[in-house]
Amino acid sequence: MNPTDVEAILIHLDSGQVEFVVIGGVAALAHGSARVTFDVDVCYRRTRENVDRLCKTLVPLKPNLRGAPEGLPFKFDANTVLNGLNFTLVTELGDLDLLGEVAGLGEYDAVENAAEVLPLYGRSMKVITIVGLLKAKRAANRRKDQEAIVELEALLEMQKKQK
Amino acid sequence: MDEQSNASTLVPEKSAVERAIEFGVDVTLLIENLRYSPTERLRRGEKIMKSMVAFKREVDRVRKEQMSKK
Repeated sequence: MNPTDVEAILIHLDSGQVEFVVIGGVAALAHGSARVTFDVDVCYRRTRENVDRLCKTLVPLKPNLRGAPEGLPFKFDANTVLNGLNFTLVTELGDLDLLGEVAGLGEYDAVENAAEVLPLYGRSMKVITIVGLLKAKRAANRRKDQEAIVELEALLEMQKKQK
Repeated sequence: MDEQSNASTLVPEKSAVERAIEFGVDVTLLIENLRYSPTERLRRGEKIMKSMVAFKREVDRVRKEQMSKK
């Protein structure tokens, strides 16, 4: 298992002018969470133009389906992406999850509405807000998210007091 | 309103931070993280993640070594 290079993946996507919103554990980390995450989750806009940019940007990183049997043919191109929705990938820079929609929020536009622009790595990137993360985690209603929800609620309260 | 529900309205609701502490969340880590910028938070998280992966690798290596000695 190679550690995921969060910085390199996000800079790579941003440099490729891909429209995406950082979600999941990395977003929580950016907001102050103390929970370590091992992959990068992003929600991507599902227009043909953006999916083309996404594929052009990611193909050099040799994306493959995570956990798929060796030798299983997988071609990461615009048709594959548009025919699917969510992809859990392993790339040369680490694990990357691409989500076409997020539970509790919906598709890209709804996720973008629940995002804010944060200064990350000297760039401006869209990151889902704590409120957005809470909506998604409550909708997913997974047992493993219970601690994350309690932590995010505390962070939200602490950030409100800071302002 | 009965006596019990009347009494419950008088008890101040716990704050989210108090609930987190009760749940077992180490809020000192959150306080510490909030001192940093978003980029610094990600870099710190990434550093921890990388060291955890390295630690797991080392544990696996030692285990393998022990197994081969048996």
